[in-house]
Amino acid sequence: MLVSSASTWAKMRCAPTGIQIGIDILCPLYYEYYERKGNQYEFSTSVDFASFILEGDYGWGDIKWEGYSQATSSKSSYASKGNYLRVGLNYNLLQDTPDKNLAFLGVRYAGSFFKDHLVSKVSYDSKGPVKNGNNLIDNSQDNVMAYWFEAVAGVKVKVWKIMYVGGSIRYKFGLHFVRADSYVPYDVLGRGLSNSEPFGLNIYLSLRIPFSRNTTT
Amino acid sequence: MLVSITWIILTLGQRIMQSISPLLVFVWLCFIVGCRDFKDCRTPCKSFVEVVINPLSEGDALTVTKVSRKTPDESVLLQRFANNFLFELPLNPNTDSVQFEIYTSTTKSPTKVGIYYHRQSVLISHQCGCAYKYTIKKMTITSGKYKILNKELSAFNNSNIDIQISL
Repeated sequence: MLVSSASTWAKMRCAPTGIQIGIDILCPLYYEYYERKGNQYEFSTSVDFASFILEGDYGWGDIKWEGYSQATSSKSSYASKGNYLRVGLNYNLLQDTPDKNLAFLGVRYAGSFFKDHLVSKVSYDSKGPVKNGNNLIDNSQDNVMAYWFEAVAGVKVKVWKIMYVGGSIRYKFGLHFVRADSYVPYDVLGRGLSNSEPFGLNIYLSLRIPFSRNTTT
Repeated sequence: MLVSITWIILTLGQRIMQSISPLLVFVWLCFIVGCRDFKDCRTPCKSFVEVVINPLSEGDALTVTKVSRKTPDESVLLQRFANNFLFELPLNPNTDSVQFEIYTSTTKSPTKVGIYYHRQSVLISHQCGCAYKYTIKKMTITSGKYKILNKELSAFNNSNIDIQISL
């Protein structure tokens, strides 16, 4: 009776047909390149309602940047630690596939919550190198919040039984900060460099648990 | 004979290209990776405010004789145009305001102006260091009118003029 009822709801395309729980396998490598150091991990959960998929991502980590400024002949560093969250909706372009593969377009609203620390010197303005400048900045900020939007396109393909592999490309826009009074955060967990890097890539390995055997979509 | 020589040259060229093309791609990738250390240190963050002084009404005549900045006490370089005056005022990152006085030929006492701002540091890159990003919070003026055209001081703003003062 319960299965039959669930099937009826699924046919009406408004009941959830399955849940996917995944991990981003590219994410831990993101802070192992060039001057970046640190760890970052991300989990992803999605519930599919036929053509629409409700998706939520949660990640956490710490960032450590270290470099040398030739302009000021001094070391420069930035560190950040916190977590982030993304929620949004996808539209599945593939309909009624037996393996429940996905090719989707979607939108996300994301928030990152962190504390950070910047050590550097002031050396430039819009006219070029600053004369009599070189003020040392050694500041910390607690409880910083960053919010932004994302436009997402991606695929998820069944590779074995309930295991899926997929990737998504993100375009991130509309970044704004709350409680970042002293300086603009340089690198935002889940977002990337605040003054560049509008695009991002995620590769997910996930498991799909269907809610009902008789769902048709 | 000529066709055979051309065919041999073309075949040899093709073979050479096939064998060295992975090497060329590798060298090209090395150049790209090598370029990552060439950082562009340009920043849109302005560390000065551009002020224009206009007459209150379009037909009125206005002659600004001097603009004097307080702490440090110094005169500001004034540019005169047809019916307005323009000057740049450097902002001090260690304070949150700048005070100055405008002297005109028509009034005895100067007009006192205060600009209050907020400062944030922006790390351009580790190679370049930081810049200051200034945002105007409010203004005070003892006479006349003012209009803040750009709250955020940036070279990317549509207007170069950040503050308009009408006396």
